[in-house]
Amino acid sequence: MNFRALPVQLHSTAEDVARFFKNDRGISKFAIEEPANKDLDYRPTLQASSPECYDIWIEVSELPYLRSLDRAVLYCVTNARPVKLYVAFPSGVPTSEYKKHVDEARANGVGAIEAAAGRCTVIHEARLLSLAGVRCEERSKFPQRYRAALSSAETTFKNGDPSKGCAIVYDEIEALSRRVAKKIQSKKLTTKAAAVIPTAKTDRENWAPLMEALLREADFNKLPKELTKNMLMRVAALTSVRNDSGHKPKNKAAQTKRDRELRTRFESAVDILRDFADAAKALHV
Amino acid sequence: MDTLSPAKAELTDIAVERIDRNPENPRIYFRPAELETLLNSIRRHGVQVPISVYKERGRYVLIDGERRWRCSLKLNRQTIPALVQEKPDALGNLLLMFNIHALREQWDLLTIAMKLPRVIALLRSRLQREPTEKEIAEETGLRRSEIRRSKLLMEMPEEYRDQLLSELKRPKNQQQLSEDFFIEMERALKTVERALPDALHDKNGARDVLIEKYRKEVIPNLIDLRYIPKIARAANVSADRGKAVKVLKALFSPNRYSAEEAYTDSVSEAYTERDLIKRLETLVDRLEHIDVRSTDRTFRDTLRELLSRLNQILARLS
Repeated sequence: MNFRALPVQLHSTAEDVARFFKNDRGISKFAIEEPANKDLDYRPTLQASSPECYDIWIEVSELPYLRSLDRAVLYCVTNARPVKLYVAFPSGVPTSEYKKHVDEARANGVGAIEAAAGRCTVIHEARLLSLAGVRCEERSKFPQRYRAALSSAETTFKNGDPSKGCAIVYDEIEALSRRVAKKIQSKKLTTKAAAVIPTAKTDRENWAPLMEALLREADFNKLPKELTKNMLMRVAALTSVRNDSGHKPKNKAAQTKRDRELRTRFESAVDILRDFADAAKALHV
Repeated sequence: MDTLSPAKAELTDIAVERIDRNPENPRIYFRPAELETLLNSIRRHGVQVPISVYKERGRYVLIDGERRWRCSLKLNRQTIPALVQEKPDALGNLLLMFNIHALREQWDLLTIAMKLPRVIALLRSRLQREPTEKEIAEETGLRRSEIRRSKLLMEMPEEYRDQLLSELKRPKNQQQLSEDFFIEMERALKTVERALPDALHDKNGARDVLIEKYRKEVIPNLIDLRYIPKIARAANVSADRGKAVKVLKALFSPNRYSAEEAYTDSVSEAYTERDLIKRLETLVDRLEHIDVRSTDRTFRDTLRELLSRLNQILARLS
């Protein structure tokens, strides 16, 4: 490998990590110190394309994280660039520096790989930076029953399964909708006394018809003032994307587009869950 | 040194991609932490001082500014300001490196030591004789003490130079064995070799033991290595030569015996005695030159009092 910017004492670390990616991940073609993007003032030591339509950037350094990587991370997060960024470092980092830097890398979604005597150990995996930038609400703003699910949704999303992350939040909103529907039915908070919300009887009925019936039959004058028609319409709008897990992207542009959409979808679902849970509080569901 | 005329240098922006490092640059290790600081500065303020290059086969070769160039490359910059100079000859190229870098930056001494033989060889062929230390210093811009220290490192066996090289790869604060350690060790062993050869049968063995003892802090600091030449020069203070050989042999053996213990067990008292005598001689010398009329009574009484105490001590000793 022919490096120009990388200090000579780190060449063997770069070669070790390239060998590791070849043997462990089947990635054998690396560009060396090439521009990652014309708009970005950064060249990774090594970069490659993964068959899963994202880029792999590897920075070889003495420490598990460098402050100068912040900009590259921010660029990918802001522009939803599907990139997994790793820092490969030689063993022997002093204990005092090790934890601080590894924690910093982890917090930024950057993977850490330690190379020692020709062997590489993944300290932690890199996150797809296009997903890592998802906005996460403070969980203390939510009733306790949702916090565990939200935590799991956020981790699942950031760890590379954004559709599943969204689905976890949708499950919570759907369950809340059913509890609200049952309460409205049982308390007769409907326009006609004999009105029936058929799908509220069983949890097996579809979500979309349930929301349609709620919007049609609920008497908004009898409902708590926070539970407006607008609120239920926001929830109803989610039913169309509920099972839209999305297809596997065919190229990087499609991957960027999908990640951007799923980020918006996840953030908006979390907002709806927070507002819906707030609005339904008076119903004691 | 043949100089390059600044009038012929041209300041221009050149493509970062068209620049190659100078293979003669003695600097081997660029510490990433230092590069990181420069990188952040260039990101904020750009390259404020042009690099120096010369043109060769349609590309440019660095004379000065390798760190700025590396950072610019890393920052994906398209161009860098550069002073394009005439191509120097082989010796001129090397001496430029020394004069530009060694004077301005804190180079690792070993990197100088490794290039110095080539400088000396090129100077020899230019002068048609062996260059003096003064001439080498004038040409390279190095101090003579640096040349002597470099020579000590240069003369070490390759395996020890390699050990030092692998230490230099690490950031300064993580280096266990410094250049100063090797220089102190080499000086000490050279003195033993010269003054007390019976104590040193296996120089590499002694090196290995001293390195190990330093790593394990049996020898806790560099200053303690200076006890070794003092022990070797036992004859200078009329100390027991046989005892000195014995303690040095013990010091050069794998055990927990420290340099300070070896010094205390052999020549410490002799050096203390020499030191006291020298001080007393100086004192007496000064007193002899004092004008008695200018001294007052208290001063003379104090001297008598001290003399009486000295006599009491001497009476006890005998």
